[in-house]
Amino acid sequence: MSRKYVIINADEVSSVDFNKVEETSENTLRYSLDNSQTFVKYDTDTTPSFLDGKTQYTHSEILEILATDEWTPNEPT
Amino acid sequence: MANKKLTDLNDLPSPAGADILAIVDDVVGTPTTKKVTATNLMTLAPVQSVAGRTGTVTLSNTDISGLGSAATTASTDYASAFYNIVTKTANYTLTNAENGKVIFCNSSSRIDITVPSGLTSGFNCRVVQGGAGRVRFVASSTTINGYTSGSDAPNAVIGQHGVADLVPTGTNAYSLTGDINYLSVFSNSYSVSFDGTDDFLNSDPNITHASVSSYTMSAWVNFTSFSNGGGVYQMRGGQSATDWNYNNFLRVDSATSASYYHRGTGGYQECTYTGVNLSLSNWYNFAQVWDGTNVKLYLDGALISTTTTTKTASFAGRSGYNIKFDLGRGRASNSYPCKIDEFAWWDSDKSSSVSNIYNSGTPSDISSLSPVHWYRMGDNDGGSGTTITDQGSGGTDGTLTNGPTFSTDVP
Repeated sequence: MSRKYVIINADEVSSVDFNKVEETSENTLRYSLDNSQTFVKYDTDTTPSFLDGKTQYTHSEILEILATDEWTPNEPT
Repeated sequence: MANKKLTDLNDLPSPAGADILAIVDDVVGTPTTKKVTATNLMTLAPVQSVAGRTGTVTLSNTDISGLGSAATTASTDYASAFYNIVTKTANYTLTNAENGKVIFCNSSSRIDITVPSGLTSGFNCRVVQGGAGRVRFVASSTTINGYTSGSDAPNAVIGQHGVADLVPTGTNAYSLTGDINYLSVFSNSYSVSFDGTDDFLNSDPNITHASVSSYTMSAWVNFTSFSNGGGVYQMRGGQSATDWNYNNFLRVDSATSASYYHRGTGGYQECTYTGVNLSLSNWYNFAQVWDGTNVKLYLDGALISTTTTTKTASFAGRSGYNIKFDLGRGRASNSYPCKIDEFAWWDSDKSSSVSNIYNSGTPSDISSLSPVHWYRMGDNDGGSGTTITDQGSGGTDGTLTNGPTFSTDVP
């Protein structure tokens, strides 16, 4: 069992059951720099139903995505 | 045969039962008269039976009242209390062979005596500290109580020639009595692993250090991968939950570039060193100091970069400004894939103590340096849950957020 990551749109956050993902709450989510997207992660083999049909990423894949300009600022803020 | 005295009769080495009757005066023919001695009788007829069992008899636990199970579990060593002496010169786990014995611990360094579960009922022993090394009792699936007027139960012999008795009080339960007190021994078993996506440790935001004129941060870091632009940990200054914009953070862009960003009045003071040679999966000790005039970056006890600054820490001397800590992320919400252990913070310049903190590569007990905040990352919290208890004087606990995990990989 390996941890999986799923990117969701910001307006889909309300559908997330935080008992089924590792994120603590809506208030602790990390958003893209334009605040349009966020992501959640889970360790179970069964994909939570509210994430059905969405692309799953591995740890190395999500790190690559998060390192882009869409998620990480170039200069310190 | 002429009459004889009994003492003149020939010895009958192997008398039969009827021989007793064969001690008679002179009779022609038979029977032959021989003496029967008590020695010969005892030789051939020792205890005939025990509890109805005849022949060669092995004692059982119940043959002697109060013996308990010692007859079978420690029969070869059963003796009256503290009769035999065994010497130990290194850590040792008790066995039934030490039941009722004096354990003489003779070493110049500490000896740990582990008390395991499953020792025979009633197991007891007396332990003597024969050398300068303290003797500590370590429970292993057992309970060791002892009288104390404080919060810590005694667990060690006080000093050389001191004596402690391990007294049984129940199944796998003991009381320690004698020349004993509490011996605190530093151990490091846990760190916290961050996946570098969004997990972090978040301290309580109500830390007030507005009057500081210097500070020191230190942590042990093990990189899973290097994250260009990522912050490893940070101290944030601000006024409210939505205003924590004054980030002071360690940034490690690559194996060769490490920086510390001190956020002062008028912006960042960057302290960068590009000559490092970091490796993944190795532990490093980083320390950052603002002494009021300089910003310093240390790696493994050595100063690797320093720069003079006029930028006073952004939270210092400003009414209503507090600080809090994020571990596993810096630069606002950017996370870093790494493990972190033994994070500590002081409201003073600890430049002269950085080498002591590094301690040649092994974390040590830094309580004598009086850290204001000290997150041991699982030690003191049993390596479970989401709370990291502050072991510093500040008492400001941290919360593991978004799923970081405990690791037994430690520096």
